[in-house]
Amino acid sequence: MTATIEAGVGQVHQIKQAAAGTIEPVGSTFKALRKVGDKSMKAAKTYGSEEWVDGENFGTPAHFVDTIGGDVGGFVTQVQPGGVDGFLAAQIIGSDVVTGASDPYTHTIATSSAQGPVQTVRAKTGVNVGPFRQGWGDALVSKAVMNCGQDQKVMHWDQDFMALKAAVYATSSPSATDSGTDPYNWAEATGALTIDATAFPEIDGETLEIDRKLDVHRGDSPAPVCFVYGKGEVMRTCSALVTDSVLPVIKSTLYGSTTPSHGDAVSSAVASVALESTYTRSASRSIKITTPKVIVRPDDWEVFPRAEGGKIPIAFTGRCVKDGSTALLTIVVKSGDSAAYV
Amino acid sequence: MDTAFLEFTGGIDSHGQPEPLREIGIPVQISRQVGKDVVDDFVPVTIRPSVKPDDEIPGRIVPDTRVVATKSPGVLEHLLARGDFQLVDPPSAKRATGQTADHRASRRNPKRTEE
Repeated sequence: MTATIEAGVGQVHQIKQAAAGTIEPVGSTFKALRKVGDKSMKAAKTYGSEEWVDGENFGTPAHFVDTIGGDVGGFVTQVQPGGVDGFLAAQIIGSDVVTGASDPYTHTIATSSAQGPVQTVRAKTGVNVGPFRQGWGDALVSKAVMNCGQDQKVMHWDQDFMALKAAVYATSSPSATDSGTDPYNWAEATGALTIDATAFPEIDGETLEIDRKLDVHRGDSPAPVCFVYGKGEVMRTCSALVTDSVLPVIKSTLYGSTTPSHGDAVSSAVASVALESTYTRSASRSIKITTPKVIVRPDDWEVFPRAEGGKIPIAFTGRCVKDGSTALLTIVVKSGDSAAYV
Repeated sequence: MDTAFLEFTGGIDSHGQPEPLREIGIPVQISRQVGKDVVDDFVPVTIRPSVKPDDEIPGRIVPDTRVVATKSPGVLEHLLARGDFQLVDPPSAKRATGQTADHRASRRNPKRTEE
């Protein structure tokens, strides 16, 4: 009888490489991550072909390997306090300052001119069939999206990778196991979602998107030889509905004043807000995400009567930029890890 | 490049006190020879408290301070770009653990606390 590989039995491990050029061996101290959903990584081995005039109606083109590696996909994980949270953030942001004399240690992870560190990802699928193991090395996190809210109660971190070494076959896996710590959930941000330092309990979800705009360069091989660094961008969204406390923010963005007068025209000035969220598990385990200047886009704001009534949703979404010398994104994590994640 | 000194302004605890600076991790761009080619890589560098000469390491935390000493243009650029490090004069040997410029100033000019 044919046996199906057990897709639900597997492991995903990730680590910062000690050095570029060398995929981390399975014996290194990997992070065991809680993968969710179906999003997966691949070898990204693709073929190309070229037709030629062969005197036939149906072609027999020449085939070749077009690419190996590069955009190899990614995966989504739950964000657990106490180590995974700061680790995931630091792998794409790339700069971590650790303070504190004892547990909890404070990790201040801030955007700068730094790239993220090079990664190794290892995955195992199946148990009685297989298991099938692969590793991706010399990889960078090209994009990461944090999501939490009423629709997605458990905090998720979605990573995409660009890898120079893709889907290297393996016969063993790292030994790290899950910490047993539950992931952050939306209820742990209650009262700690702020716009311009004022709490807005009507905020019902948030998304943080960090895109490095990475690419790879392929030289004398289908596999890439190096990364090409684009100009990254950070986008942030807080969704809510129109309330008495949200209206002043809308007025300020559209008219430049929280108390516009009758007849005031839409302001020609660009408006921004500071968005901050803090998820607290305990006094010693928390994550705070600060974007001091978000250029909120009012493009799709529609505060207009509705025949059936109901709530009017609104999203404060926009590009995060530096506020003077302050970093455009700072993530502060309290954890038991005394070593920097970068 | 002469040694630059940068003080960390973040890492403040729940009582408003600066926490001791423990470790900094940043990737620094380093060129290396691969066969006949020179390839630029971002190599993770960890900056820790040390009294080693600044010529021998990318950067160090001056022991018992929140100040980083570095002669590496890459490290200097990264730390300044974060926005939470500020250039300062070389720290004196008497500087106590975890004191920032603001903290020292507040000790020189203590505010009265309402009982």
